Amino acid sequence: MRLEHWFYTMPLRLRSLFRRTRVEAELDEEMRYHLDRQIEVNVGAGMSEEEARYAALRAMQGLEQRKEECRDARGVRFIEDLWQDVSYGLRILHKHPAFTAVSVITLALGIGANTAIFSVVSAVLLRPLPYPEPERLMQIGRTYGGNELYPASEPKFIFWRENNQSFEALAATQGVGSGINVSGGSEPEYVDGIRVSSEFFRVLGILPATGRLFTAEEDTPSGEHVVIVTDGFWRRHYGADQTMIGKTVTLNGLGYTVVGILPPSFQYPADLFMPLQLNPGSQEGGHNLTVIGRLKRGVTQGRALAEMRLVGEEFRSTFPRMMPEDESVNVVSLQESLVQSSRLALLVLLGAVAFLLLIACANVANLQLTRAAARQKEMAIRLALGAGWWRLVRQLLAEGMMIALSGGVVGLLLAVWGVRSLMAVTPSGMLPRLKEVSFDWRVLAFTLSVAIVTGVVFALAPALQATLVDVAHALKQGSGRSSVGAVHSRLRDTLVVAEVAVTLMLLIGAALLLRTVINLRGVGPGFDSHNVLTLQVALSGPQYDTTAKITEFNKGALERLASLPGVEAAALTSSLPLIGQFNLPYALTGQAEPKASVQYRMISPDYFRVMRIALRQGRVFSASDSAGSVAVLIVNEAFVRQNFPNADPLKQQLCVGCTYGDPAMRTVIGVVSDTKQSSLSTPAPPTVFVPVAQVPNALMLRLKQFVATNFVIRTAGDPMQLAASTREELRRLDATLPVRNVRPMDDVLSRSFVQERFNVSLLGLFAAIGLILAAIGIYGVMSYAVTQRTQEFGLRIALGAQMADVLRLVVGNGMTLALIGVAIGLAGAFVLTRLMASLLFGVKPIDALTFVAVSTLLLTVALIACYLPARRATKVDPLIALRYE
Amino acid sequence: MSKPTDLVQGTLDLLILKMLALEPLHGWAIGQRLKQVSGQTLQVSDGSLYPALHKLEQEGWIKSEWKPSENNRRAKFYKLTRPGRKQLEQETANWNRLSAAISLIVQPREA
Repeated sequence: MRLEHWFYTMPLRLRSLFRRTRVEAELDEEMRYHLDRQIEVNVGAGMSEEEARYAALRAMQGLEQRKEECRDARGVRFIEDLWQDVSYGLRILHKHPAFTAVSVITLALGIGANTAIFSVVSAVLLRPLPYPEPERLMQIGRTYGGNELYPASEPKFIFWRENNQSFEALAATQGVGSGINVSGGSEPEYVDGIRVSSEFFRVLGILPATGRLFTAEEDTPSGEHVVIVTDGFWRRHYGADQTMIGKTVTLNGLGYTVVGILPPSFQYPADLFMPLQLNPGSQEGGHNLTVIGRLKRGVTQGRALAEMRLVGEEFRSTFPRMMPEDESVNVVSLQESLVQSSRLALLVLLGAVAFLLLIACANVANLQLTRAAARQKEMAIRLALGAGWWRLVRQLLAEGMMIALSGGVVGLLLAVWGVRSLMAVTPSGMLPRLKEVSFDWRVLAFTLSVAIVTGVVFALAPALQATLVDVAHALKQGSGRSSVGAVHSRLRDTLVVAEVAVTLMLLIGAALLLRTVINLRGVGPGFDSHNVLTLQVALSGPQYDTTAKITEFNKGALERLASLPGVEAAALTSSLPLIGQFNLPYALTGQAEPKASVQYRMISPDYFRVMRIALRQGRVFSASDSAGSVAVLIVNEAFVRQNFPNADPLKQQLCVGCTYGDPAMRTVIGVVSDTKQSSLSTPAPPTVFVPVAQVPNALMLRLKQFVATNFVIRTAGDPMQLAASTREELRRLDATLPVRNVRPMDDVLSRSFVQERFNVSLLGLFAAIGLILAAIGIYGVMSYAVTQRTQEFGLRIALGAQMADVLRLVVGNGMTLALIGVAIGLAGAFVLTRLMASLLFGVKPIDALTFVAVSTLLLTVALIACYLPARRATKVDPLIALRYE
Repeated sequence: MSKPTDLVQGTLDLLILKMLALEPLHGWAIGQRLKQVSGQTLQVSDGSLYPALHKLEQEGWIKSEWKPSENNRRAKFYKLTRPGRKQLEQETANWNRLSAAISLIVQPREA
């Protein structure tokens, strides 16, 4: 029955839609036939031709209305009307190109900013990780009560792996901090590698594209040297050689067999994967392992967390000395742990662009209102001719939609361009998963919904307005210039107030971030980064397997570098300030075993001179502090404060890395000033410096897995001018040694607060656009109000009002709105800026100076935006104004 | 402005279906037929006839065809479809039930 029904009705519907002219003609013909027959009958009954026609028409009770009813019966009325609305809307918009362009551009800015930021948020925060069943992937780590995830030690990982019931598998990874020199292939390369336990790929659910994964045997201390490479590295370095599997490659001077090549879709910040090869009975105390796990099906994160806490307690009772009282185990979804650092910043930016869109909407709504006032007469005529209320509203909505959707299209283009520039200026590694940003269905759906909501929001104001039209009143107004009265201007005023309030909140957010960056710039890093060039090498393989060999290379390299023209001094360090960190446990005189860890640096004698780190006490290293001489050490002031607050630090003795192969009690010979390590906003950590030449072989070999050799070169001029010649000198010394990260120390410094700079530049940009839009909005409203009241001003001036009175009147009106807006904005900022507290440095979220300064700025802009139209009001010629009507 | 009382909603549909069940007719003929059959009792205005016809057509109960009429002009003839016939049966049944019920109430058989 249903099907049969469709069989009869569908052709009719389609015909009504697509053969509209034909259908209309038939309707006319049917009516004409009826009328003609009726007229015939009427004439037969003795009426005159004319009378007969009138009678027949009367009998229809309104021919046109009846035809409308017939059209309604077609069931495609909605689509037909929509089409009409759209084509009418297009004509109207086409007739007002300036209005259309301004609206579309304004909205495009708002929608574009939203789309751009959302595409990043979508890729970084929303899109599931690119692994099978990513919701089952967890990261497991140590915590001290918060939601942190600190790396695990080898015994802890092994214990967790063997004693949990929640996970299908646990895997541990450890970056090769020194990097890996790859020889062979197209040319020597210095890349990032990572050691992973054999379950790593199984946890992620990744299979190799070619070859195989690691076996359990390969993941034991006696396992073979095998390596799995990423698709990207295989293509880049080996030219996608199909026969790579089973071949031996040289990594850090040792032969490794390639067993697998990963699929192209696999993204991970490393090129090479090697087995971790943990000793099952390891007693290593260092916490260097990142642990991930795949939950068993049906096990929730909460249950896994509860179980892992218990496993942690078991570990404590088994190895009480290895786990402090306040330590516990934490389980966080891998997705969350990857993006934790950027989440807040991105959400703040998303909030900011939402605000920006609100401002854009308010502006376009204002424009619409202005036009709606001018179109009053049109609306009134249509109402008088019997157009329904809903029909009018729909017409306005259709116009709004068209503007919004055009704005959406232009905005999308803006966003594509914006995201490209965003990715170009974002340093690698600042935002996780940035490479995954794309304009997928999520983003398109988001843009479309933003555009639609926007269209509804700003079309609604004039639509509401249209419904309040008093037909008779509006028709009587001659030119359509009249004010629509209290309701109308109240709507407009509300929009201005909202605009000012939202802009103020945006500006305050941007200003707080700006002060954060200024504060960070003001922080002394503890060294002079200006005119210092840095570059990195990894001394690996049999060529560099003793301290003596390394020292030999260092000596040669530093001599060559220092003798280059334009070089004032050259030195090296195992870790640069503000990049990475490395610590070792230490014991003071009288302590049987290490109680704490300290930042550990191997340096050459000139390090402090090159970095201009001040010597506070004692002396710096010299060439005579060599392998055979007295074991010495330099500490920083933070270390002195921590360990010898009341004693003379010089002549103190301590043992650093005693359990790792350096049992010597080293004597403190000097104290240097502090340098920032992890970031500019965190205090300098206690640090010790040891001459490279004095590090015993055993410790050196371990350290080389974690740290590289960083040359620091003080130059007379622009350090990058020496980039090529320094590389060349090192190549002469060892042609097979790849050099990487050649960059000025200034870059290292500025990169350390790149997230903050990123935040401020984006939020600042949005706030600036917001401010401009708000200024335009206020100007538009005031300017319109002045036009509306031309007569009134003319009258006032004719009656003797002074220029100043008129100015005060107009500016006073506008500034009242601005002040209300500022008050609301301040209240909003008071609540909202707290949310961004952790993004700030050196400034409180509620900072009186910022709040006052930004309010003043905004009020000044508002004043100018009011003053310009106000001045126009004073120039009204009373004669012309009064004669106008 | 109040309109002349139209037929009870749906009754006109029933009458049209019933009429078309006998033979295909064009709009004017249906109007004439209605007037003849019901006389002055049922005031079916010419105006409400056509929207009703179009509605029935869109429902799939009747279908139209352009054919020469008795005065040799092209006219739009309507005829019942199969679903229309079913609908007619159903509405007739409904009508009978309804009118029986109503007459029970308005003309209760007195004891």
